[in-house]
Order: sequence, then C-alpha cells, then structure tokens
Amino acid sequence: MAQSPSGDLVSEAFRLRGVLQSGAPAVDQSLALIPLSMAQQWLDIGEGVTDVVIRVFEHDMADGVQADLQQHLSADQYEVMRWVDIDPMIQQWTEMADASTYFILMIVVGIVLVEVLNTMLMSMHERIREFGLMEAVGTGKLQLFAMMMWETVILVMIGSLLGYLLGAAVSLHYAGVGINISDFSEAFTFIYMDPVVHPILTVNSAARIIGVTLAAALLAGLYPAWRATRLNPVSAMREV
Amino acid sequence: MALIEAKGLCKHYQLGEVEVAALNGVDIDLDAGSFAVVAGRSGSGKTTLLNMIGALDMPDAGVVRIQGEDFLNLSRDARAEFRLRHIGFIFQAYNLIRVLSARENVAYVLQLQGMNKRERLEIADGLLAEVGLADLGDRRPDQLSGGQQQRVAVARALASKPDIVLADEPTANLDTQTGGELIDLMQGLNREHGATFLIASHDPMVIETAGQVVQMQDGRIVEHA
Repeated sequence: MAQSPSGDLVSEAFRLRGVLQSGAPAVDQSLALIPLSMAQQWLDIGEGVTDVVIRVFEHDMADGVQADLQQHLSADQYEVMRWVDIDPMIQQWTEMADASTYFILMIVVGIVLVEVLNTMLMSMHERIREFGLMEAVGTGKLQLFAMMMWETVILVMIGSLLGYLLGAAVSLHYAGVGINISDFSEAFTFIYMDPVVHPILTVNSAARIIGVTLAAALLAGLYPAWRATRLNPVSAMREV
Repeated sequence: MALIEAKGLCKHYQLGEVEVAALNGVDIDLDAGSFAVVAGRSGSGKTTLLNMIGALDMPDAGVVRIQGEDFLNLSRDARAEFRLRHIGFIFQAYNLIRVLSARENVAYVLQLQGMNKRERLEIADGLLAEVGLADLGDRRPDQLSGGQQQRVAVARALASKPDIVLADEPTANLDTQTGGELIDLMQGLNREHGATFLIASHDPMVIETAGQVVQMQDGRIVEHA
C-alpha cells in the first residue's frame, strides 16, 4: 500500500521473490524492493521518478556535486540534497567515529612518548660510564646530544617500519576477507551499511600515524639526550 | 717553560656535615717528556689532582696551565675540545666503549678530531701493534683480558698525540706481571715518542720506575723528588 502523487491511497499485490538479509534488521523489516517500471505503473506516474540518488566516489565530493547540480537545475523543480542534509545524524556519527580515532591516536602517542622516554633513559643509565668517558676524551655536548637523538630516530624508524609492515599485512588481509560486524547490527538501525566492512590502507593514513609517532618519539628523546649532556664526566665514570 | 704548571690548587668536598680538603694548596710543575708518578695513600688527593690537570674537574681555587694556556676559565665544550687536543687519559677501570672494537676505541678520538675513516683506522692499527695487540683489533672489550684492555686504553690515550697522558691507577686492576708489562710499555712509549706521562698510583712497582715522584698526603704535596 502506498500514496500516489495525487494523494490517493493505492494498493497492489506482488509475488514475493526473495527475502533480503542486509544485516540490519530494522532495514530488512521495513523495506521492500520492486522493479522501477512496476512502481511507475502502480503509482501511475508514467516514466517519472521521485528521487534520484547519485553516488560519488568519496563522501567529501558531495559538496561539489551538489553545487554543480544546483547551478544546472531549477530550484523550483528540484531539490538537491547531500547525504548530510537528508540525515545529519549520519554526519554526527562519522564525526564521532573520527573523534574516537583521534582519541585512540592520542593514547597511542602517549604510550609511544612514555615507552621511548623509558627506553632512552634506560639506555642512558646503562651507558652512563661510557658517556662520562666520551666527554672525558673530548666529545662535545652537542655531539652527545646528536648521538642520543639519532639513536632515538633509528629506534623509532625501525619500530615504525615493523609496525607499518605488520599493520599493512593485517589491513590487506581484512581488506580481502572483510570484517563481519553483523553482530553489532542493532547499533546501525538508523543507517543501512554493509555488515562486512573492508578496511582500506591509504598512504595518507599511514603517513599521518608514522609522522605523529616520529614527532612524539623525538619529543620524548629530548629529555634523555639533554640529561646525557649534563653528566659530570668524573662522577659518571664512577657509576657502577 | 714547564709543560704543566699548577699553582695553589684547592678542592673541598662536603661529606655530610664534614668538609674534606681533597687538595689544599697544591703547586706542581712538570716538564715535557717527563715520566712522573703522583704517589700517596687512598684519599691523599692523587685522583683529584689528575682530574684538575685533565680539565675534568674544577678547583675551588688555583690555576692550571698546559703549555701556558689556562683552560679552567673555558666553557665546558671548550674544555672538552682542549682535552681532545692536549690530554690523553688512562683510567683504572679501562673505560673502553663496549660496543666498539679495540681499533674503533682507539680511532674514536681521531674521529672526534674529524679525521677520515681510513686514516684513523690505519693509525689505530699502528698504535695497537705498538702496544702488542696487532691481531686483536677487531675484538670488543669483553673479548679481551684486563691487561689487553688497558693496553687498548694506552693506545687510545696516545692516538691524538696529546701533550700529556694522565693515568689514574693504571695497574690497580692488573696482576703483578701484567702491571709490570704495562709500565714497561708506557716507559717505552715515553722514551720513543717523548710522550709525557703523569701517573697517579700507590703501586710500589710503578713508583720505582718513575723519573719523578710527587708524594701526596692529605691533599698536600709532601715530597717532590
């Protein structure tokens, strides 16, 4: 049963050809799909349509496409809406997902800071006699500082590379097989989405996390490097 | 002009509520080519004196000049540079860099001086041969005996052709025979290279071999023969 453009209630009987299982029960229980020609005949609208959905490759392309269409279509006859205009909640949901990602990123950065700081401080304390000796035989403060910073950079670069390779392998694996989140489908009743998501490994996302991690590690490396330059060579060489 | 001139050196340490005078008005002159020993019991001020002359520690009062240059007023970095150019060190505990091989340890000071890799490794190999370790250049410190490590330290001390080599209790961790061989080695280098040695030691064997003996007691020089 549906309402025709003239306002009349119209009904029609259809033969059930199959049952959709999208993974979202709310969608499956409220949505029926019929051929377009059958719907046009049923509602008596000739070859007319009420909505045209345009799918873009990236969600941030929607603004440009909307502007182009508004420029070419009469505003009296056509209303051009982006997906966020139709359901602002989806935008809030994606913004919340981004915020969660950044929050996790901050936690990762915090862990990196603490780990690098701890590692480099331990490394400095283990070699305190050597630092004393190095300064005694003529190594300058800047040279000691640079040496410690280079050690930090090399440590973090090796860690980042191994982490990236491991992460990329996991991402590429799940990009193929997908991650089934249908168990959580109740949480997505307001939006239809594929219950199997496929992660995408992009250069930007990898560069962002490696860049932020490297910056955090360098920040954490400053303190041990500075401490190494403040050692008194005589007392440093007495350390056991 | 003496190679080393130290005048009125004083250094006091605070041990709890007690003030200890490690050096109490020490004057010492040493000519180039000397092989001198600062002798005295533990706590007499030998190491403190060497640390002052080596620009590793600062006195509370007094001056130290090496070849007429007063380096105590220099900045910390400038003193490091001064040590690099003018002073070689041998320490009781060898103090080699454990991740470097023997030849890399010797070449390290030459690297600090900006010498290219091939040249500095050639010099290091030559010095290791002089101290009797020609075949052990690739070994790391933990693969060498105590005597061998101290020989590497001697080679390192001489690598930059310093004006003076300061050795703090160089035989203290060695057995009698190895200690004797080390002293013979240093005397040989003193004769052949004209390198000036100032050694802090209470080892009678070292004191016997010295050209000059500076006897210290309670932070003062009590005899200079």
